[in-house]
Amino acid sequence: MSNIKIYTISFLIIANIALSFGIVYVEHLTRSQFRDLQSESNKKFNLRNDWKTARITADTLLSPSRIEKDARNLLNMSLPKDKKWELININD
Amino acid sequence: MINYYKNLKRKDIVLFFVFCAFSVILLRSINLQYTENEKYSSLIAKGEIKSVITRATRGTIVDRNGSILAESILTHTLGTTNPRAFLNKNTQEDLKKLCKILGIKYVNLRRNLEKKVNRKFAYIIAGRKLSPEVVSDISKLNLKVIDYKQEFKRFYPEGEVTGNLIGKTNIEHIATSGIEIRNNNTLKEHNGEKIVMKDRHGEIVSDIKLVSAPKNGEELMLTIDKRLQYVAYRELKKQAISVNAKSGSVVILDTTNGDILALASYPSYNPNDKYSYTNEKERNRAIIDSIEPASTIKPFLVAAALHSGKLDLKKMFDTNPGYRIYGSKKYSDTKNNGIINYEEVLIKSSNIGSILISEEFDKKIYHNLLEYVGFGDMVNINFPSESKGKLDHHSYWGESDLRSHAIGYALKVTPLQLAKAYSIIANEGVIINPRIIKRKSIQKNQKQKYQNSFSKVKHVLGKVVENGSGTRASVKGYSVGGKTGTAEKYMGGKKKKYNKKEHISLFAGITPITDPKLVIVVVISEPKTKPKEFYGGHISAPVFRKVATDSLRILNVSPDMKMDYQKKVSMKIENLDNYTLKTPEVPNVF
Repeated sequence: MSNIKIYTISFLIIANIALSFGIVYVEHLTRSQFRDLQSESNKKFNLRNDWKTARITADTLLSPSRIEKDARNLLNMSLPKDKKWELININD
Repeated sequence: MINYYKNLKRKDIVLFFVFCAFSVILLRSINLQYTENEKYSSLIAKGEIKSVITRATRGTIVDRNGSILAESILTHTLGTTNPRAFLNKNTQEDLKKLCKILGIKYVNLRRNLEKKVNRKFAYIIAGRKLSPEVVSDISKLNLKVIDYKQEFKRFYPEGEVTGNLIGKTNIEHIATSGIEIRNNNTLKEHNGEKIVMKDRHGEIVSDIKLVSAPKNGEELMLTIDKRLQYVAYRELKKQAISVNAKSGSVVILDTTNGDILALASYPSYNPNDKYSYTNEKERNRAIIDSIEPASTIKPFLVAAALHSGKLDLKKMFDTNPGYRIYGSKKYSDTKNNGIINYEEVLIKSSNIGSILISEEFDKKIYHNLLEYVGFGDMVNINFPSESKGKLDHHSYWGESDLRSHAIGYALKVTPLQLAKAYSIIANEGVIINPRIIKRKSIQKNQKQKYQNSFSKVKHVLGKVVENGSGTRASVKGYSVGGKTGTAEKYMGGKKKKYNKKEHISLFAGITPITDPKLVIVVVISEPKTKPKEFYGGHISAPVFRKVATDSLRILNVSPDMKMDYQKKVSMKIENLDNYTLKTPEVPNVF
């Protein structure tokens, strides 16, 4: 067998081994990146949930019934009687 | 033979072993692929390949300004994968602390978990859908063999104010009532499913196949304004409690586009608190309950009479002595109104006058007008159990029925239908169908009928509030038109009797009457007051005034009437004309 053939076979074997390792490495890389992707999408889901919770909290604090209750109880405010208020047209 | 082996070269030996190795691999491959295929496939399926559910969320319900009325968020549900170990490995002291946090008795916790020993995941009693604060308190106990599941919980920030309008979902997050159930197709989420590969730690390492993609529920925007809804509910509840009424409802309608701005109904429940719920509180009476409209029907009678052309505008109606007897039935006014014209029939809300007007023209015209304004037909706002009321065909009306129809009996309407009908008066015959879903297009009837009649009636409604039965509905700075109504409660039975002691007080009004923006209908059922104080003008008109005052301010509608301070200024200017200039006295300083 000529030297060229031997070199060719050796090259192919080395290439084969390298390719095998390459495949395993790429598979590992894909899996770890997929894991990262999963973790990021979970984070996104949780952040979305946190944002929704914050929105509900804000809207609950801004609810007219709560504002009125706090105005009455914490600030001792009350709605003036009809005769006590005057309507002013700010567009005049 | 020995020579043969001696002649073998090293290369041939290597090739032989390589060949053997490949043959072994090939044979094993064939073996795995064909002979032991099923065994290993099932092993892989059990351990590595799994079908997982991808979660989607239910759609949000928001008001016309984007404020949340219903939203789902993920919460933690407490459970255990091994109930027996949970009870044995945790100390009784720790478990009692857990019970204290959850608000349950230790005996109940133990008894409950002992029943679930064979379950893969056992829920802990009162541990479903916990708030983050409770979860944090539980984690401080460092309990063993506990596990959390994540579940969606629906929150309703407005509580009882929108309770019987929005509806609710049950513990399984399934809609059970109100807008939630009727718009379930829009709001409902569709969880996805995919086949994935997991590693030995149980972590997903790759997606194999997408069975179905997750689809979140869509956002649903309502025409409701939560500020107006609150004002309507607050004033309704306040009045209902003060007059010890059984129930009530308030509708606020935007006459320019048919948007329902508020649909309040009392009593209501808080959808966040399952213990506040009862079937009675679930009813949104503005949509579901049909009532006899009593005197609030009279503007339509007058409009029909005007439309017929048979009503002489100068004709006077003799209502003396304040009552009439037809057969066995007695019809009466609250007082003797004497001889009055058609305007005064409305202003003084005369039953006798209305009966006399109804005798002036063909009942078919009256029926057609009632049908035109939507009585006897559903408004179709897409709400469960919406009532269409009751309006019999005029061919079934006897003389007695015509008289009953003239004073608002023998037919039934919902408060929402009444609001729609008054918006047609406000728009002088143009029908704009009410809507509660914002994305629904505005349904406007291009054919304008009864324009002149409604225009005249609208003008008279202003006088009803100015100096008639509805003076308590007047709003500072704004022109108001409206009509009071007081219906005796129908008891049914063979004799079709009415209860003289139980009443429904109504007020339907338009404001500002010069350029209508809002129609507000107030209905209060069975107020328990002093005699002669159960009238719509006493009970419902003040609620109208308060709701209209706040609503007009919130919506930034400019006042159309001269206001008190303007009157004072103009009076001072008039006084100045009579003022003669005098030399001011200089005070003696030194």
